[in-house]
Amino acid sequence: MQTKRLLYKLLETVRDFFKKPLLTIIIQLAIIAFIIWYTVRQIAAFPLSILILLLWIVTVLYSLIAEFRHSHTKMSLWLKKNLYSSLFNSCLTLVIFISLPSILYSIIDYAILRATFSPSLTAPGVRPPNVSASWGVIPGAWKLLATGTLEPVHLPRVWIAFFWMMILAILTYITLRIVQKKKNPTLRKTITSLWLITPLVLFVLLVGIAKPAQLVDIASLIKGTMVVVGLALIMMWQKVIPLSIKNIIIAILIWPVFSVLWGFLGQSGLFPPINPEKWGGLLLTTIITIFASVISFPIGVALAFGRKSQLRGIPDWFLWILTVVIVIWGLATSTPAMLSSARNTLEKLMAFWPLLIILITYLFIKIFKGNVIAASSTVFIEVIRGVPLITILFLAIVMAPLFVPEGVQLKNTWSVLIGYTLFNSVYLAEVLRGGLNAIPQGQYEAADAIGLNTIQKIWFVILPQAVQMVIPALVNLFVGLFKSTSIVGIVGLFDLMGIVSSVTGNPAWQGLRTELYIFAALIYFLGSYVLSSYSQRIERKNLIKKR
Amino acid sequence: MIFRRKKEASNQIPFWRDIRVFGIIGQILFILLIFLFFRTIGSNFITNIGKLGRAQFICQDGSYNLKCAFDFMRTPAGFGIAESVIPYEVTDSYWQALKVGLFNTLKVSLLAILFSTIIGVVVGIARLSNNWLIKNVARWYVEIIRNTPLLVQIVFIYFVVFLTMPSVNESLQPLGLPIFLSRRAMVFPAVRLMPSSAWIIAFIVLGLIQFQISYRKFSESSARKHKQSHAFRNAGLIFLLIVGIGILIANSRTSSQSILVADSTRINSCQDIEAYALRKAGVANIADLQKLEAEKLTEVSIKICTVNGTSSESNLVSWLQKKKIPFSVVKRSSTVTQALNSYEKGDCDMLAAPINLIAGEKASLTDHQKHLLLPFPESPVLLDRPRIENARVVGGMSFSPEFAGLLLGLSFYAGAFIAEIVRAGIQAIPKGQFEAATALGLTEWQKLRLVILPQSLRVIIPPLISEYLGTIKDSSLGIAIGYPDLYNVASTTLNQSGRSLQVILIIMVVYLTLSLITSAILNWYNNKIRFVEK
Repeated sequence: MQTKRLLYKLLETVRDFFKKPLLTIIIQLAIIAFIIWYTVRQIAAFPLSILILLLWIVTVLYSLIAEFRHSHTKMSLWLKKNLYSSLFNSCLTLVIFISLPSILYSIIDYAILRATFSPSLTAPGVRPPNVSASWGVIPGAWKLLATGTLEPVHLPRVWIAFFWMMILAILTYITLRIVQKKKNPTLRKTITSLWLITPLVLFVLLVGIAKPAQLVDIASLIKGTMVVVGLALIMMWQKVIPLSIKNIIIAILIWPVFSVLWGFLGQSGLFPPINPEKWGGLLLTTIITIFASVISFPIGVALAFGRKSQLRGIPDWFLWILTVVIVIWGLATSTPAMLSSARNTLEKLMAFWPLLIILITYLFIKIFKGNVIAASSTVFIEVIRGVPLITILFLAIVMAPLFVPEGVQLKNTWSVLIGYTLFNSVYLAEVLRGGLNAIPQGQYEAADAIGLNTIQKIWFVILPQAVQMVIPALVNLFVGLFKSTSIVGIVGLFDLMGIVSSVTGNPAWQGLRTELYIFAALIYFLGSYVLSSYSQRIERKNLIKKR
Repeated sequence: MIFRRKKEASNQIPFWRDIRVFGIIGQILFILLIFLFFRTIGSNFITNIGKLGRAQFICQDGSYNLKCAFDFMRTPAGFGIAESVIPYEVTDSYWQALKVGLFNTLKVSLLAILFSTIIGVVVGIARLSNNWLIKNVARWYVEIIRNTPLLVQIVFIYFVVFLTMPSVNESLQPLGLPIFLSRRAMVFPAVRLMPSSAWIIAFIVLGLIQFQISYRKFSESSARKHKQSHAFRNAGLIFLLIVGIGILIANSRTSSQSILVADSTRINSCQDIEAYALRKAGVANIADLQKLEAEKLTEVSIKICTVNGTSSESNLVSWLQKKKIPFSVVKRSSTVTQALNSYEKGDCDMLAAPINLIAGEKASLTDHQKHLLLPFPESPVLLDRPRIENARVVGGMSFSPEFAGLLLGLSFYAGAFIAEIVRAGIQAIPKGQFEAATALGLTEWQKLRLVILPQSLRVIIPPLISEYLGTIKDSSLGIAIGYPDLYNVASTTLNQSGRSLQVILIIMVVYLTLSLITSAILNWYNNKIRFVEK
């Protein structure tokens, strides 16, 4: 009885299949024919596929029978839902079933079965024949890949920097957990202040301090203290930090203490300066990423607020009077001279450049309503966003040396760091602007209603919310920055990618491009994947919170 | 307290708390700050630029003038460019070289945009598939591609995949298709449009216009009669009919191509060519020809002279290939006169050239009575299949490994991002929309066309356009593998001429123009969909 019903069901399915329009049947039959041809081919090339095919047949039958008998087990239901929900899906499953094992096998074969792992077997002469991958190149070239051409004397400093960051990160992770439970403010404050001095620590470790002539330069000490105290007073006046004796004392002492410490460290010669052009490999990649993302944060915040600024602009009448004056002055002084010396029509036209100012003024009034701050931030952001990163780096390398005093040689590494900072800050500004736009108007109004001044409003109400809202985007930006460091090799620096390209030229590791590129890709992948899945997790959490 | 009450009474805000005054003071301070910044570092800048300037702004007569800044662009570039869309020689100016670079950038990025969109749509839909395997394969494709730098991918594809391919003679032919992959070039079959194909194109345009008109008409009439609409099908049939007429007309036009045959006593029509080939080989029929040895076959094959840059070669070649007549192209000349010369010397049996070029030149032949101008049957659209001749691949569409590496890298990379955009766009539609569409009794195609696409496109297109802009900008990474795009040519220009400021200005202006165009399109689209929303 059972068998009869099953057969009947099967016949019914076949009949339903042929009830469809002719074209659909033909296409489906063609797809099935292709799959059969592909399966046969694959089995001929890779005999293990027969087992896979058997597995497919067994599971299909299993879920089919369960379906017809209306008695699904957990497994057959999963199979039906996820692999064999329709004829088309079953065919796709078969194609992937059949092709994946051979792909996986060829990867394993290349990476493990026929590979060597010994660093001494990498040179072209000693490399055994029929070897696919010589992974020995990675431990062999490890020093170069990790730190580039950095002198070995300085390696402990890199290690200290590395452990400093690691320990701090782990501590933060742990305290975040504890703080959530116990709300331990002192521990959190300690960690925060440790993070705050981290840039200084990293600077001392990785850049080093030149030996000063004397311990402390009194003039600069006084100047620095005045600047710090001035800033602190402004912040107290705007009520960002509370006005108290303790805070004033801290503000007065902070600069002298640090400069004395600096002087001592410099005189002790513990941390002699490192030539930044010696940074390389993963070290350089990390330095660029961290430097650019830290320094670009304040710039990005300023640009974001600048672009959104709604200050009342310069009055139109004033701008137009200014424009007319400039245009008349330009037409009177430079145009006749340029016209008389013009060599072709283009140069004759260019002699009338003052007329362009009218257009600029018109656009300035029309788009930005005379707001200088919004205009300059917007133009800066759009110009940098409109050109490729490599152009910005190139620009930085050519232009940055023009701004330093004569006789000072600006190293390419610094120029590139400046370029990355500029580039990252405009993207950061755009991300933050998204966050600012998402803040409800009520928040501004509420802040006004409880009598906060502008800086308090930004510092305590708007910025924390905006940043929290865009944390996933910020992490993605950070990932993008990390990935984009790979192109500094093009402008002549030796980051991980740059080192990989130069290592392949070394006779001991000649022709081992594939291994090195795979290694570099893995490093980039691990870093980016961990971070981006973290950002996705936050995003999902935020989404749940919103609902 | 007294102080404050007095203020309220006068109802005046002191000017230092007035937000308007505040704003203007703030802006003046800002301008001052920028001015001060540039004054402090500006003095360095002015001295440095002054030193640089003397070399940058040199005129032809040796004097210095700001207006001579771009004069160097007219001097010969002096460097070769491996591939270009427009004609370029070493002696051409820097302007021409930069133009070549710009066109190369546009070529690779437009193709990459096309491919990445296809990849993105397919993978994006696959990520939402209810097949667990497909979903995960698509997911890991996206994760792996998105989390490795583009440069690593491009360099990997170029050095590890393309440069390890065999040489031209041992070209790979995947699945036996007429595709030749070697480390020199990737050659694909190309579609060549003969002059007569203009008829087909014209009729396709005509058909599309007619389709639009009749589709509207049919759907209106069926809506009036409350009948099921067959507008799409009917209008489609009309379209096919019109295109069919176009194809028929194009096929009847065969005058523009011709061959010149040496001896009018031997060959009088196109059918005679086959007989001539058989006589030359000394066999009875074509099947016997195939049995000949390779060396003998090249010896007896019909020798052809052609003119470079004309489509008559591919026309003749595809015709001979169809008839299975052995042939070899022995000479490609750059002008008709040269081709006629080598033909008269006896280098080849026949000459393939367009009739309009050859008709004027025929008189220059010494014995022009003897020569026959043969109109040749021409197919309006033909497939130009590549073939190996003397250790190089001729015919077809050829791509350099640099171009192919950059194109593939860009397409895969942007494809992964577009997949995420597409997925987000489809997921942004509430489930109720699908259910409502199903409840209305719409078919799958109607559901997609009328309900899902209009809504998800609104979410998809803005990020998609910025992704396209990103692709154009990312094409500057071609320098890593030596593809001569705009940035590559510009940096060579800089190295040769030393005019850093001008070259940087040019690059920035070009890229900014491209991005401005893109954002103008984006703004236009955003305004348009906002209008629809109301």
